[in-house]
Amino acid sequence: MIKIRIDTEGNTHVEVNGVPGATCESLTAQLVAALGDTEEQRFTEEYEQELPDYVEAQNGEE
Amino acid sequence: MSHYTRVKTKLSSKECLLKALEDMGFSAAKLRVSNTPQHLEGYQGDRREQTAEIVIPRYHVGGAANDIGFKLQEDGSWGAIISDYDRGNRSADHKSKYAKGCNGYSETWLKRLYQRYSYHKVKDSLSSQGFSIMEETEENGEIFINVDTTGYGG
Repeated sequence: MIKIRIDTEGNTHVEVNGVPGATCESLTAQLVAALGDTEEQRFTEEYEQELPDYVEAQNGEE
Repeated sequence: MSHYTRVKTKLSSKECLLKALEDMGFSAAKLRVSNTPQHLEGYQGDRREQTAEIVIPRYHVGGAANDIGFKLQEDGSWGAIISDYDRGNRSADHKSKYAKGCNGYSETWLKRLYQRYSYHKVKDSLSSQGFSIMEETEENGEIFINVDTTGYGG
């Protein structure tokens, strides 16, 4: 599921859950590209616990 | 897998900006839209130095107002031109539910416009990618949209 929240400043928060890895990233990238400038991007806590090393490496690249 | 992203809104779609302006009470009939920038008018009908492609004429802005403009920037985004007077224009009579409670064309008004823009942009983006919205709610001024990703293996 994709959960989208548009806050009172008009910024969009996108959370993609339960989608296989590569598809999840590609899906997020497509949505973000359509919406505007990315300010913050990270894997959710649930996923961080699942694969800490991979997440740390990915977040470190940002 | 889960992924969280926060996206700062940039007014980059003219179509969505026009939809957002309509939500805020300015339908196409109340706007002057042109392909080339036009000079804005001041409250006395005087020609202002600023130019814009999308204009809310002063007689729709309310009171002794100046034109409000949206000008296409070099980076492809739209920038708002609102006079200091109109930012606090107490004669502005906002009839749209989305603009209720805004004091003139203040920062609050602009933020509501950005939120309506984001809403339309999100809906257009989801629709063009074949997603369907499962649920849409509003709470504490924020908009929540849940989207079905069944076709993507979720």
